[in-house]
Amino acid sequence: MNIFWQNIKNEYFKLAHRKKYLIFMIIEIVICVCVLLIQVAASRVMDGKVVLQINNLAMAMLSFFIIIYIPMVVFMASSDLFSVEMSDNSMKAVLMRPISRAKVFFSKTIAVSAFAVQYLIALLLITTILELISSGSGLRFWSSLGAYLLDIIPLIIVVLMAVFINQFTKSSSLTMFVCILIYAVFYIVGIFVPAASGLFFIGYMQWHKLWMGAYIPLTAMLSKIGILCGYGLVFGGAGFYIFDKRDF
Amino acid sequence: MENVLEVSGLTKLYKNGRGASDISFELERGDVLGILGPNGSGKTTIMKVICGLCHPNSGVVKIFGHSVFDDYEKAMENVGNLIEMPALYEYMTAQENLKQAARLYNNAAQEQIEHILKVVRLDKYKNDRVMRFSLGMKQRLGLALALISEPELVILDEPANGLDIEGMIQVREIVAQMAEKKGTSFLISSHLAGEIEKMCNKVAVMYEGELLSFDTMEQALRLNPTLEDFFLAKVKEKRGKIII
Repeated sequence: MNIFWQNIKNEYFKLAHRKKYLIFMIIEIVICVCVLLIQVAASRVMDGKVVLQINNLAMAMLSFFIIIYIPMVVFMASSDLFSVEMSDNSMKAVLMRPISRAKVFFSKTIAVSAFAVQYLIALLLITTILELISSGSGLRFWSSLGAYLLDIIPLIIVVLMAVFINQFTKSSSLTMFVCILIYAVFYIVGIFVPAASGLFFIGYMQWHKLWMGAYIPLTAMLSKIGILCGYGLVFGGAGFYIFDKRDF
Repeated sequence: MENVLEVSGLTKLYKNGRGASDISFELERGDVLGILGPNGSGKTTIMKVICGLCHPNSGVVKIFGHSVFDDYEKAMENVGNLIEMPALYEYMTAQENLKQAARLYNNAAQEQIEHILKVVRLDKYKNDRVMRFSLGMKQRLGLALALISEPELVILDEPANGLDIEGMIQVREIVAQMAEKKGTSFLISSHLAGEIEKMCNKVAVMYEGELLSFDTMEQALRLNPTLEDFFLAKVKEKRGKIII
């Protein structure tokens, strides 16, 4: 267990070493600040008064970031830890150590997930701080926190999908392209064929909306949980199988 | 003597038909075994299978009595490797690369990192990113990564790659010192007969995926003035005709 934990740390540090992720984090903060400033400007123009009307910035930002921004970071991070390492030969650095392939595979997957969650945490913190500064109220923090925590579950499935796709090619650009293509196709099909959207895990990216209503349809939720678990098992199991059988 | 490494009936063939077939040998504690063979003779393939990087078609590999295929973690606990080009994270410094490896061993502390950097003479460059390193520096860092855990078995594939004369002598000294003082066993592959002759006490000749011979250096040099002659004699025997 210790070596598994140590390798999660290793994989996480590898991602943290790459400056592009810091830049993406800064962009995330800038986007939140810009949205707030646009809202302030809009309220000034409409009312002619300096009145700030922030309508739960944390939740408003979550929709954009969980559907578009964070999945892109996930695709990049999974590509950095899998296809890039396969192509530049650095994957061997860990595979020749006394750690099983299962532990290598899942520690990398957990590191990517932790990295994605880190972006969610940063988003929650920055939007809460901005709300506090602008409206002086942070009452919605706990409900926002619940929504953010719930959205981690479909995000992990996106991580597993990206990791699975990474097993097919050593080209990071091709991996990114395929990840984005599959993600976009699933998302668009879900919009135009609503009946099918329930079958695609990408339709659950705003998973919190299903849970945070006044009434929770438990039986329907069970089937959705089953679908998500199924996707997770298929992507995780098949991804590991290919990784384990590969010659390096 | 205790067997450190046992390879039995190992076959690994790639789709193009190349690889290595039916390889068997044993390595005892303190042995420095050199695998000598031309490019494409299967040396790296064998080493990759021993290190668990490749899956064999058949055969058994045991390190310290643990099967590499069934009990990988136990088998690799006391093994250091340098296979083909060193596997390095180029965006990290030399020290950070070593820290990454050290985390996976309980016994490798910061002092060990400092020590090994001195041994391979990279202590001055420990905070430089690997992407700025020359080929020889990368090779020396690869050697440091192989030795970071003070392993009892070290597997080095073409360790002289990219090294200058001083670097090659230094590798030889490290190997001799570790084998003598600590009883470390080495499995070293090279296509340079001179290197193997100077470093090893046992030699295995590989050719076209087959293990042609496995002898002590003394036996190999008994009827041949140099290891190069020994290699050519073995290849001639295999081909059944005169090599020009």
